[in-house]
Formats: sequence, structure tokens, C-alpha cells
Amino acid sequence: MKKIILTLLTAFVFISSPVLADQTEGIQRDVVVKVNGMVCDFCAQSIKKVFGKQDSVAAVDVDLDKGEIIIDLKDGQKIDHETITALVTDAGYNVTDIIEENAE
Amino acid sequence: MRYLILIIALVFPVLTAQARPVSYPGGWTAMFMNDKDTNSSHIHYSPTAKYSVGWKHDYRGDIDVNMDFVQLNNLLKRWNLPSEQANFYLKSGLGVAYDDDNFKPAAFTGIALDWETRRYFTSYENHLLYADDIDQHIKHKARVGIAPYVGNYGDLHTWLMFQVDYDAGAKDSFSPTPLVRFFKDATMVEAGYNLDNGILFNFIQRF
Repeated sequence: MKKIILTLLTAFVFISSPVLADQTEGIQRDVVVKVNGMVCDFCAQSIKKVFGKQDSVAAVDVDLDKGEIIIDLKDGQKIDHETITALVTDAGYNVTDIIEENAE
Repeated sequence: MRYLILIIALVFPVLTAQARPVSYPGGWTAMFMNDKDTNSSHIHYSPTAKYSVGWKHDYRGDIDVNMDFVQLNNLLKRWNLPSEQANFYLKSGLGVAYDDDNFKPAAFTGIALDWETRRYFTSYENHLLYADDIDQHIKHKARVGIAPYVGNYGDLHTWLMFQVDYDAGAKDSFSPTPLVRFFKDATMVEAGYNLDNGILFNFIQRF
């Protein structure tokens, strides 16, 4: 029985080998937020849900490798640093830096 | 061997990432946990990232008892660091326990601790239950885990884990369970085989 379990576990690992894609492909990098504590997909989902409710946000993505939230703003829209910090903090994480890359 | 397992459980304390018991503000979570003794359903809503309220139903197959609770989960402390996170939770419930002949008030409480990076995971939680003469127990659960590869958000994540349950009142006090976890987006599935003869299967979905 133990051999069967080990075999199944090994098979699961190989079957589930990841397809690593550029997670931020197609997203306009208007604002990039550096965040501490994002370690899993549940964290990323939380951030996406919270920012997705903002009227000024067109799209949002998360890069766990870099610990970044990438915010794509709607044309002519802005989001201030205080709002970003409050949203991230209320979601349970910590902002370490906010970089405006393409923001108008 | 038992002392070695106990030492591991004490040295690497931190949450049984049965998925975190508190979600993001406005988030719903459905959790279905099954092991050799218990089939459990827990649905909760998080008004803030600090606490959640929900309903939990347990069917204890080992003693043929049902339990229903209103459950409150509190995130007492979170530590956010670059590429790692640790949490300290208090989980409590008030409700009833019943079988064919009895219907009694019941309550439970317990703490849960966890620490995880994207590669390593460790957790500990305990569960103190009072259900009058139907059941009373103090149980402990600890886990360690490793991800054989590190995927980014949206990839299928895989974890190999080892769980140890301890119940001083049980015939087999220590109960080890190797398991595998699959995790993608808002869905988590865990499957394992308890070495004291039982299947573990957990499913968690966030909304």
C-alpha cells in the first residue's frame, strides 16, 4: 500500500508540472505596488477582488515571483497612494513601495 | 518514533492551511474536510480580513454523532514579510451535538498558527470540544509541507505534505497522514491516506 501511495504522489507531481506563463502579459503597467506577504493564489485572488471593485481600475494582476500588484487604470483615471495602501492593508498585506510607471 | 513526531510538531508549529479561516473583505469560502473520523462542511463570510462568521456541520463517523455550530474565526496576528507570511488565529463555535438519543449543547475553541513561504509550509492547530456526555476532546494537528516547484499566480501549485494528528484519548494517539495538495486560483484540493486506515480528502473554494 505504501508503494502505491508513493507512486501516486510521484505521478501527481509530474502530471501537475506548471506551465509558467507571463502573468502580466497584456496588462498596462500604470501602477506597480510592491507588497509583503503575498505567498499564494488565495492572496492574489484577494488582491484582485479588492482592486477589481475600484471604478478607476480597468484590470489588475499579481506577480507572486516579484511580490507585485500590477494595476491597469482606465483612460484618464487615477488612484492615489493612500487608497492603494488602505486597500492592500485592509486585505491583510503590507505595501512597501508604489511605483507609477505609465500613469498620466 | 512518537517522540520524534511530537518534536517535529512542536518545533515547526504553524497553521494547518486548511486554507485560511478568514478571507478578504466581502469574501465567501466553502470548506469541505473529510478524514478517517469526521466529515465536515464549513461556509464562512469575512466582513473584514480580521474575522469571519459562518456555519459548520460535522459528522463524526467514529461515534455516529452530528454537530452544528455557528463559528467565529479571528485573525489575531499576521506577520507579512518578503515572500513569507505567518498567521495566528482563534477559532470558536457554539451549537449543538446530536445522535439518535441525545441532543446536547456543544462548543469548541482552538488556536491555529501557520508559517509559509512559496516553497515551505508548516502549521499547528488544536481543537477543544465540549459536547456534554456525547463527546469531549482536545485534539492537535500539525503539518509540514514542501512545494516541489514554485509556480506563479494562476499556475497549478502542488504541495507534498505530512500531517500528524494527536488525540490523547484515542486508541492510536498519533495518527500520521501523508497528503498531496493541488492549488489553483481560488480552488484547493487535498488528498491523502491516513496510515491508521482512512482517506483524507479536502476541498476548499473561495468566492
